[in-house]
Amino acid sequence: MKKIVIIAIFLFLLLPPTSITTWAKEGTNLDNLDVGAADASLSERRKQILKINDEELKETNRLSKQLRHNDPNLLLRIAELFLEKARLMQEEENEQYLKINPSARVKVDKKKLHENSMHFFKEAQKTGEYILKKHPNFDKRGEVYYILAFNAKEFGDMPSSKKFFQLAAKHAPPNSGVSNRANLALAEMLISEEKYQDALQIYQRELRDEKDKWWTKDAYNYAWACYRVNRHDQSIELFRKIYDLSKKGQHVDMSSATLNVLALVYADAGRIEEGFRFYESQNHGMFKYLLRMSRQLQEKGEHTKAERILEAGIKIAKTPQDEKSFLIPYLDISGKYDNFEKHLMTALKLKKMQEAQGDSFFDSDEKQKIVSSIQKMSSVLQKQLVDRTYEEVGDIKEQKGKMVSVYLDLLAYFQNKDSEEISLVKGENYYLLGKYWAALEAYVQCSGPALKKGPDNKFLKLCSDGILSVLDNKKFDINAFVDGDTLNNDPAKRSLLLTAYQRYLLYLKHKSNPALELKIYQRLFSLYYKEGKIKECEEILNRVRSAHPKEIKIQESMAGLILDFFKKNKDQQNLERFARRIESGEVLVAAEYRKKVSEYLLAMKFKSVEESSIKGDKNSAINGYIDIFEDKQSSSMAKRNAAYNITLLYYEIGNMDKTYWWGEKAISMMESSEIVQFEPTWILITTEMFHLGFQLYSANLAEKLLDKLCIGGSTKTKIFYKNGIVMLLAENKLEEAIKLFQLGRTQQKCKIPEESIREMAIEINKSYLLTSSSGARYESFERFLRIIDNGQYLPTLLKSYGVLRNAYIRAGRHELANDIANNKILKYYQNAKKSKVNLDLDDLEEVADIRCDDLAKFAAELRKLELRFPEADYNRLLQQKLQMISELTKRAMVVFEVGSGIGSVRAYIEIIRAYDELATEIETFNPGDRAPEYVKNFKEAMISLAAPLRQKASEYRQEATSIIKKNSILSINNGYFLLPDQFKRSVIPQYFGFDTIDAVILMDRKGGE
Amino acid sequence: MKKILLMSVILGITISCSSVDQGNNRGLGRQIDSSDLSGSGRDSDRDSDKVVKKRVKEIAYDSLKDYYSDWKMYGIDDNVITKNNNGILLKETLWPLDKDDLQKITENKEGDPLLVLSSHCYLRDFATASQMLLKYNRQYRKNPAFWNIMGNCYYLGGHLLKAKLYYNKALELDENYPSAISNLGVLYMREGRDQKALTAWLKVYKTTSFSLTPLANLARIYLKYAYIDKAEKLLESLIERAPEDVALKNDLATAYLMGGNIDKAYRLYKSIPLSKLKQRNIGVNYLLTLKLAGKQNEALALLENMAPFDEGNSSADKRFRDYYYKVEKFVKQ
Repeated sequence: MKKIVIIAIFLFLLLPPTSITTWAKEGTNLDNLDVGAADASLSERRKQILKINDEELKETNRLSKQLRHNDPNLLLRIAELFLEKARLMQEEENEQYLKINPSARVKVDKKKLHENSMHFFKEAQKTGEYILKKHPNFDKRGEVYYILAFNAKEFGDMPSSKKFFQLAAKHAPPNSGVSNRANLALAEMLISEEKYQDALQIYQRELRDEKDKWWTKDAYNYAWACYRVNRHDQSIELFRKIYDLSKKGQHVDMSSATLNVLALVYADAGRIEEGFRFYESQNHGMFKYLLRMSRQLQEKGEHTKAERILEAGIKIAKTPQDEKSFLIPYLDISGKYDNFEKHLMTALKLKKMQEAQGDSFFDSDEKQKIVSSIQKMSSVLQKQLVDRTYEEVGDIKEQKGKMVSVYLDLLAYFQNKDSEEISLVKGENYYLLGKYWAALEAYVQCSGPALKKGPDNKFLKLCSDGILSVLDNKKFDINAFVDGDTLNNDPAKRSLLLTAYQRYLLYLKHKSNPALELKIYQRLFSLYYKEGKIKECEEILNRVRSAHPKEIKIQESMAGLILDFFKKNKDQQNLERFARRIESGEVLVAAEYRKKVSEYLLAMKFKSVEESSIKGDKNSAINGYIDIFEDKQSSSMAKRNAAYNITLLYYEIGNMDKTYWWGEKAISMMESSEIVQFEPTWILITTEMFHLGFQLYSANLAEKLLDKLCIGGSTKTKIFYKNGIVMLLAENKLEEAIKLFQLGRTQQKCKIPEESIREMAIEINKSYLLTSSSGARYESFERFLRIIDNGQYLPTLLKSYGVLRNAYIRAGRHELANDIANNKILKYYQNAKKSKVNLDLDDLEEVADIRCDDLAKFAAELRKLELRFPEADYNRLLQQKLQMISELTKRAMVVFEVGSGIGSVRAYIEIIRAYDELATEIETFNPGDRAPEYVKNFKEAMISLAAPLRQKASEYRQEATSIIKKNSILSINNGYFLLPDQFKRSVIPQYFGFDTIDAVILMDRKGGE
Repeated sequence: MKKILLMSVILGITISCSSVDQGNNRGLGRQIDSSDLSGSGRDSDRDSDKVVKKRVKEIAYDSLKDYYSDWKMYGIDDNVITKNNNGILLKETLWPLDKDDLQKITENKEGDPLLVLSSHCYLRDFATASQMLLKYNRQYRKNPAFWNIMGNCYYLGGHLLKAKLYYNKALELDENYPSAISNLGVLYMREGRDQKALTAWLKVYKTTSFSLTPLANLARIYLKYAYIDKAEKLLESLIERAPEDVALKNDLATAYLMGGNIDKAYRLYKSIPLSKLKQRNIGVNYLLTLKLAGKQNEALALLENMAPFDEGNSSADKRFRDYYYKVEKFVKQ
């Protein structure tokens, strides 16, 4: 409307001064009319015109005055002049106004600005009203009405103006200029009232003379009216004519205005191409006109038309620049009446354009317009969704929801950043729609930038909560995802879930919610596990360990899964690495589980080495085990097991040196229970060592093993105990054997049976008996005897004491020898007799030896006693000797009772000798200087006295011989009895065949016949 | 989710457990038995880098072939065989062979391992014998002769207890193995336990009809303890089978002497080479025989040519010397 007024004013200003009808107002003090001075600022032409106007006005006024203002024609002329002057002044005022700085124009008082011109408008008005009042039948009242109509228009009183134009048309002579002008003015007013049909009727009637200068102006309105009643073709025809005539220069130039509007008409008429060609032919871009028109139409509320214009523009746009100039307003207009589809399509198109042309394609204003438009539409849609406007209409709801997302994407795009707010809204939107995956994606998108901005970012919580609400939503098919294969084919979704969890965890870092965090960790772990991303799984485990160290069960379950993964994938390296982490405590698990892992790790380590061994490649196996042993990473369990296995392998290949070396190591490292567990093996090894001549190795190992076996509660300790001692004795390690002996004897935990201890005591004893004599040795022997002598008889014990006794005798320590004889040997013998214990033959020999010594001493005493005369002495001494020999015999019986063959033989020799010697002494005794008869009788008597002694001696000899043969007694004195008597007078032959080593015949083979 | 995790854990541990259980048995090493012994089957080198891949085949013991034979392949002269009772004694012992003959045997690489081993022992080459022990122990694991020979080796080296252990090892395989029992008797004699020695030899005597060595030893112990009749009986039967055996001749001559059969003793002593008779341990009783036979001059002549005392067993030495001096004194009377 405004524009039309401006056009009218403009047109008005273009009117030539001569066409103005003047009139004067009744009552107007025309005399006071300021017909005066021209403003100095007026343009020259205007000045001239005003001057002329003033002059004419003055003159006409004078004339009218003369006629007392009764001449309506003069008054009319005055009114016309006033009007003309007002216009000119107004024109000038407007020019002055336009010269003012636009920002200062606001402060201008427009009333004051137009004060001068307004004055003359009013004068013209007054004059016209005077005429009508004074001369109601004035034949030119049509013209008067015309002036009034024009003034009214000027004053803004359109109804009055219209009324006056109607009156002017009515009262002006038909087909007169005034009538024509008035009608055309009316038509113009009708157009402004949008009464186009009415206006058309007037134009059709009134607009005839194309030669008229004003025809273009009027035809313009006519053409517009045609357009408005959809007579597009007529409208176009008119506008083209207007344009052409305008260009010729003889009409009012409406070319510009025509161009402004013709584009619209062409567009609306669907003759856009034609229009485009027209504009191009005139070197005018049609687009700006189309744009302008569309704006104007929009302002008028004619959105449909405006839209069509823009669509036409879009269609014919040749360049992206042109296209965007239409698209942006089109975006705006298409959003009216919630035409979401059209709007969205336009927005997408704009996006494509930017994508093609670059980020700087749209300037900031354009972008702002686009963003605002999109924001607006998406807000509307969102509101609809929130308000559940389409709740019942599922499809539409879904569609709307999608649209919102697209809008938000567009928004984010044009805002050139992943705006968290936008993403959040998207997330909310999708969530409402039940599109949880999409919601999750949006929330995740939101959380990224939010996280970067810091924990206090308001969107962070919202986005993170959004993530969790999706994850926790029962309707969210995550479980199906995890269990089924759904997401196996959808890596994008998997990746999304992972990101969601990770983001949430990052969020939780700033919140204290351990329970939730742990829950998320577990979920994330499951996801990674399903993905086969074990490195990430480990990382999760590390985090759980760090943040939730007490959650051992969970850590353990995670660890178990990780281990399983490596196992299934036969990733030995990582399996070992991870198992070591568990073993070392770096990964927290229950003690029992750690133990199992350690054992498994150990098993794996050994497995490969075992394989070598099984294949028979013992060398590789040994090397493999040595590697395990030397590996610093290996646990103590692995090392000791490696040592043990190395021992076995060396044993198997027969290298006893290394078997021993490693065996020692293994034993020192192995637990007692393990030693016990592998007892049979150790027995085998130590036995084999003995077989192969490595008795010392065997002994040493046995000793070391015994210590641990005792602790470990073995039932076979006696084997190692005995073997160890025997091996040590075999190696002449007597002291060490005793040490070991003592260990078994004193350590109750070893549970060495008494019998075994006795056996070993005897063995050690025998060793002492076999070893060469020396003072130190005897002392050691004595110490040992003190150890084993617990008051209970032990075979060879008395023999040992006998050896010691003899050593003391040789050393001249008779008191010690006697002490041993009485307090040890004889005492044991007496006790054994009482308790009817059978003594060893060797021990009996010792007892007999002592008795024989006594016997020999007594026999020596008997021998010492010599018969002599006088007779009384002789008889006494003889009596004494006979008593002594009787006593000797008794003592010999005691020796016989001992039961030692050798002792008995010795005793027999003593008593036989004693008897023989006594008999000989008696028989050969010379009484000295006595009568021959005396001597003869004496000798006869003595011979008969001696005879029983000889007899006894002979009997004893036979008895001894018989006993020796019967019992196969092996006495060195056997010769005395068994060899012929002839040797008694010479030398009794002896056999020395066994007394040198070379003389001994060893037997190698069984031989054969 | 938790349940799934937990189940996985259980499964995981179960899997782990089963593996671990297997690992337990293996990780700690194996129990071995003697069948694990793959045998060295290699040189006496103790270097463990030489690995045996195949199990060494055990040689089964055949008691019917438990004797030495094929002397010719060792380069042993027929005279040696002949003088050693036509090899009868040599079937069961290398004791009669001298160092040269023993050396010849050891030089034969294709020889019977037991014979070669025994030869090294008699040569007192214990280092080689140890190596052979390592080399052959698995082949002859079940052969009592092998262990018995090892026992002899240790006996000859002066390790009586070790010798006893190996003899017992042989007896574990065959409780009546005559060689081991006989050798135990020898060992008991060395320990001064003559009664046990007698028991051992009597056992062999009862269980083995044809072995010479234990009978000879039995005869000797009878001689030592003046059981002349028994000694004579045994020795005469032994002499029949080994008429050229100097040791047996000496023993029998001594038996005759001790039994008072001076003439028989004298005749038998005369069949012994003079070189042997000059050894004091053999010649001493010959001197006594000569004296009792009224051949004083011969006795005196021999006395002057007697070899020095054999520095052997120190304990017997004094006793022997005392005896020798007694005889010498008697001879000179």
